[in-house]
Amino acid sequence: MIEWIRFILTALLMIAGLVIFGISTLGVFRFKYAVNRMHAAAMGDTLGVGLCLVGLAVSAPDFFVAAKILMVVIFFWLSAPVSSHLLCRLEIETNERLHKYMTVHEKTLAQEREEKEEEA
Amino acid sequence: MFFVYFALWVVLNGKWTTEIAAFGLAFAAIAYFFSCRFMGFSLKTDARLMIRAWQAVRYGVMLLKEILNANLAVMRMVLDLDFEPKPQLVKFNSGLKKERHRVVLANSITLTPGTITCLLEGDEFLVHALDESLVEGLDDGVMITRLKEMEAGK
Repeated sequence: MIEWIRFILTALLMIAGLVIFGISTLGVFRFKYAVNRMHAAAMGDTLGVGLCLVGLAVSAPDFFVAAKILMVVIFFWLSAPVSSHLLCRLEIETNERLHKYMTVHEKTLAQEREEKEEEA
Repeated sequence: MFFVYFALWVVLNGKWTTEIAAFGLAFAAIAYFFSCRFMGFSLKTDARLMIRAWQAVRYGVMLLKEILNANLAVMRMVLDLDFEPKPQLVKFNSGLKKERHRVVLANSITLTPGTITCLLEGDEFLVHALDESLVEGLDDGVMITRLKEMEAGK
């Protein structure tokens, strides 16, 4: 009985993870600009990988294997943002026509909020 | 940090025997001595951090929730075929004092889909967001308020 519950739980989590991977791949093709595409890819990186590996951890034979798999998730989530940050930074610093692709705010968010309040 | 090293050792070994535990204690002690000596850890700060470890756990749970919400939002954008994203590049000052907390915030922002930290200089964050709706709550959302609470030591 407990084996079946574990199997169904694993299958559900894995399928959910794969669906998210599918959607993020669709997003990578659908959006137009490199940085926008990274947002779609980040979806697969976070929840997609997370759900797939948690599903594997549920079906793991003993505690230590499950702990190892969960550790993979933690290290992945610590390191993935670093690479996407560096890619994004490269794009922002080297692209001279940023205005074409995005709205660039010159002021900080707090300043903008203040201005809006003053107008109102 | 010592306990983290020890837990890593045991988990990566995959078994729990007296021998592994003894070796683990020894090697964790060596690694901890090394990180105290060369990487700026110290017993005092570690003890202080351990008392507040539950805050880190609470932050992690909240981060999970944020990741889930942001994932759902971005998924909706991808699946809505008429939708065209309006990317934004925004600046804000976090008001956090410690470098450690700023880095945690930057990493959390990048980890939630839809927002990427591009630049972090001093206290100024430069964040790229996929759409206008994702900009809200960047500089006054749950993540930053929780980090400020942690900094104040509550």
